[in-house]
Amino acid sequence: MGARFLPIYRRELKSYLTSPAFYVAVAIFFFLTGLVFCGILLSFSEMSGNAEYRKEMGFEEINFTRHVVSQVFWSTNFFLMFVVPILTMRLIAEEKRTGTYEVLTSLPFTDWNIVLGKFLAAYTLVALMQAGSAYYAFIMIRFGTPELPVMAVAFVGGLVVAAAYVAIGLFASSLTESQIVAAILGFVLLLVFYLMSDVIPGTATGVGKIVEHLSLRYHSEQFTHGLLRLEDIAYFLMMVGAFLFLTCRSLEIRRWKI
Amino acid sequence: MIKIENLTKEFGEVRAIRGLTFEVFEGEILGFLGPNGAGKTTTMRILTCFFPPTSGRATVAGFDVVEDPHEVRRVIGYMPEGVPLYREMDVTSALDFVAHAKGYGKADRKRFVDEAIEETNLGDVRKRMIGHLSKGYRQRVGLAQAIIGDPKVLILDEPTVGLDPKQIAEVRNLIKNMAGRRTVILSTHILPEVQMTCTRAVIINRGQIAASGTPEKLTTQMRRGSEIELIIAGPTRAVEKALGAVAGVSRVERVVHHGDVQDEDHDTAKVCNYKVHSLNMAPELQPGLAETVVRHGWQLIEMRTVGLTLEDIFLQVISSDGIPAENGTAEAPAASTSTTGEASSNGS
Repeated sequence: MGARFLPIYRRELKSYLTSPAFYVAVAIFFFLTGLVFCGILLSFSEMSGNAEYRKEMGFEEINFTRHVVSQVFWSTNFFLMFVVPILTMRLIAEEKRTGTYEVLTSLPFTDWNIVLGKFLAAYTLVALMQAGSAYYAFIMIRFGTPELPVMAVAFVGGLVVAAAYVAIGLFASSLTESQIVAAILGFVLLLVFYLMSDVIPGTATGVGKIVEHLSLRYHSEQFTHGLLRLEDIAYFLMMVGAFLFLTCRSLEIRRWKI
Repeated sequence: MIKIENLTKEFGEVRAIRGLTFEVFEGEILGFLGPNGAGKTTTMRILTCFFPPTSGRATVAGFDVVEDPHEVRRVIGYMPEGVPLYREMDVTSALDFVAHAKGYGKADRKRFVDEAIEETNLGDVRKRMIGHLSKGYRQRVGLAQAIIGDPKVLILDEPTVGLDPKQIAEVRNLIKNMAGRRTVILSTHILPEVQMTCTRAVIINRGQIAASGTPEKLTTQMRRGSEIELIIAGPTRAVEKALGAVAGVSRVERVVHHGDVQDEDHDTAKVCNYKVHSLNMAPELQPGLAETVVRHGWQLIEMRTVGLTLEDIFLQVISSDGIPAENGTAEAPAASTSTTGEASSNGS
């Protein structure tokens, strides 16, 4: 049973490399993060220019880690919300549209094999993209004074966050036969989970508190602040598990209707 | 090899198949025949474990499709309707994927891929992208995918749809050559296909079996309700009457040609076509008819049996309402005169 998802994983990776959506997603990702990285550095250098003035006015002290490192990783996580749905949209929707899904289900795979293989393939590419963006980190280390542990936590945290994004995108792709609908659906789902905490006032208790704790933003910001907490990791793993489970269920729908 | 017992599948209110029962034996090529929407694809999807039946049982090579879907998937090769393929892959990697999916190691995969490419004659395009291939080639890739790993059972849903006559002949030959080696069930709504490639046919309509047997058996079975066409020069009304009196004839019909002057008062001799219907088609019928014509001194210009093609049987079977399909195994009903007339006029 063990590696039954491997054929699917390999096939998906191969298909990605020939699909324009993949290259578009990579281009968008590096364009946006690059642009924002540049912007963050510029505003930081402006702030440094005003350092004396800020001190006099009693503003918070400027801090490279706080004003650059956290910001960069925060925006990377944010842009992934746009990029991941573009990557995951075709995973199941396209197979359903072209009918290859019927071939797939006639091969000795379980639904779980299919879901896992597709999830891991998309996640591998997203993780590679994140690894590629590590060159921002090298630039920061070379020219700035970041706190390395914070940077490491933010980076690893980003990988964990992306896994949840991919799972949500995959689920969206399983709901429809149209790639575009899948992408929009994935994006909306991500946005809802991301902004959930923003509608809750900071003083909320009870249900409000629960909603806040279910939000992607609340947990992913702990990582970018350099906090490595078990509960945040557990939250994202739970999100991955939950959405992969939902995807399996969504595939199973064919068993009771067309 | 494939056993289907009392299979029923409902989609909400719609009953796609109802109480289907039939068997496919090892080495057989079974033609699964029916009009669009008869339940062919639904049956095949149940056999390939795409979805389970609402009730009834289906087993493939002894494995139940509901209880052992994994084992079933190991022994089948499936080509769905429309031959969906991964267009962005090249032929070799698409076939390799299927072999990999069926759990074969690297060396086996290479061997199986080579064998499938050879059998389906895809050598020229093995490195080409599937999306760039012509329809005929893509169909063969679909077939190659189905036979990867030499499965015991092949399930082909409309394997020749949309091909040109030459490609159709190629695909049919390919399938025909599998007789005895593999158990094949192929669906189609093209009748000659069944006559040419299949060893047995099952005709279904509205989710039930309407008729089954070898193509020859189906044709001869229906012969009973067949007809003889004669061209005779003679006084039309007298000829009609004389033919009707021959033993075994149930009905005589004069084919009135367009432009003929219908002059019923003057029974003049002229060349005319007659259709003689008979319910039992006794061997002495034709000599009897000839003898009658000659005895009256008329000229017999032509006489031939209008044999029913599978096409006629098909039309006959699917146009007759309320087929008495007890347990879904009923044979085709003996044709009533009216349905025979309908089927023959469609066939001639």
